[in-house]
Amino acid sequence: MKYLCLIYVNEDALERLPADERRALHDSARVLRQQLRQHQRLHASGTVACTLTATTLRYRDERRRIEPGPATEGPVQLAGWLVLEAAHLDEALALAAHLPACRLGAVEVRPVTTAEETP
Amino acid sequence: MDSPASPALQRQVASLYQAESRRVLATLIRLLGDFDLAEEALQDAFIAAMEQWPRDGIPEQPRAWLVSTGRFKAIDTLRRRARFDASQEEIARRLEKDVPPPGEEEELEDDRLRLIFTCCHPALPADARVALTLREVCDLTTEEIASAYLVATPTMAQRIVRAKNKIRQAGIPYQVPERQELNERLDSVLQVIYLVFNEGYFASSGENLTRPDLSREAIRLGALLVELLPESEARGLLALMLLIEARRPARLDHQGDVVLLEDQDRSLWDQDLIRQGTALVERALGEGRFGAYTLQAAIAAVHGEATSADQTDWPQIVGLYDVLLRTSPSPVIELNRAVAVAMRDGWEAGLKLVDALLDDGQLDGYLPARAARADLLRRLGRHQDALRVYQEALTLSHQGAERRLLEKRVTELSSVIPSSL
Repeated sequence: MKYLCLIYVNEDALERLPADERRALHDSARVLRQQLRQHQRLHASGTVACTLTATTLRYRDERRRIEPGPATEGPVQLAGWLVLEAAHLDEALALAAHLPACRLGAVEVRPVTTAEETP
Repeated sequence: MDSPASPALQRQVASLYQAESRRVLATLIRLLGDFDLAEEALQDAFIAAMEQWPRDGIPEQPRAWLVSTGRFKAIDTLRRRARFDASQEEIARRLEKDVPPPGEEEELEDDRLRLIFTCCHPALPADARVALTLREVCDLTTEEIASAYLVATPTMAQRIVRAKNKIRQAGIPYQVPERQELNERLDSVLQVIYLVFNEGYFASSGENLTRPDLSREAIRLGALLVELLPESEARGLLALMLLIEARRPARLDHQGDVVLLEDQDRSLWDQDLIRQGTALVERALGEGRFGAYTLQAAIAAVHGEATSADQTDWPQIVGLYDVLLRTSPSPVIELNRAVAVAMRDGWEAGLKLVDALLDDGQLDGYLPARAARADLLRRLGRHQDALRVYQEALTLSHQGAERRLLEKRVTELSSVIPSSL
């Protein structure tokens, strides 16, 4: 199965980290992605720019509304994503547990299908 | 034509259903990979048994017969569905191809454990874990579970359906967790069992204070878990439930009102349960890898051996609470410790601790904290203060029998306090 891992962090807390700690964090995430790729567990991954860059679009009463910021507010913000290959949820959770974001923020794991696979 | 099942055979099948249906279901879920399909297959297998056994006699290994028949019935079901949904044909073909080897006894016992761990998976909401466990592992009907938890049957049915959908869609595996995850996952199982027990023992709402059926199911589950997975904490939880259950006959008076531990008629306590519980605690403590349930059971065992509140070994209880607070700090346990300190060192010492806890704010909406404070004030003869705190406590209570106890205290105190005050 394919599992999408949504990586959430607190942007302000991340910002406040000393530069070397932040770099170490990014390094360990990169190493993890490499390992996952080597074991053919990583389909794709990416980062999401900070919420300051977010724009939210809604249609209400036939009118388009454009608003700054993310669609939902919360203590943590979406910062990246990975698509993992795992036999089942427990395996996906065991893999995702290595992500540094688990300690720093939160990682949400959900099964996904790609458009071609959807029945 | 099939001969109809004789009453004797019907009874035999009924008792076989009682003894084996959960085992058969657990194995069918593994073989079929789907809860609903397995449940349907289980029913079909028993229907087939009622049709065929009168003619052919009861098979030598009824359980294996039921599993194998259920599996074929499931393949038939998928074939029927394939007329409307072609994707079902593929599943049916795959099931037909993968003929399971005759299961080893150990594998089949593992199926029961798989079922428990899957129903109690932490990826499911807590209320759904409870509902699913009672439905699948304990074989309570949705109606029974709904009425035990005082929710409408459709609500409970939806909770169960959603949980099964999540298991299917999120790919929650049907397996006993790996060693390194076992403790974390066992916690979730123990929590579900204890939640069921507590709902049966201290009903959180409604007029009836206890629902013995739920407690009985929880104890059965606890015993099954100890049988299948002999971990210390599983033993500790079973011990705790048995030791609390032992006090049930003394817990309510003839009007159905709560009798507090210190006022209970201890001759009503079930000594057999106390013996069983105490033996389990001693064993769990001896194994050295115990946790919060075992420690709470040890405290309950100390109460269990005391002939009265005064005769209780309070220093030992305070000591056990100290250990418990180190392993699992919680304001509720601090409160219990404070009450034990009051028994050991006097009301004033206990009140000091309870006041400090309440000042801390963490127990603000927690009724037992108010009630404990009111009680200590009353014992110290500070009736006016006690009355005020009992009244505060009443505003927090939603439970009939609990309210009556508080109201009784308010009435008693009001008659003691001169009305001019």
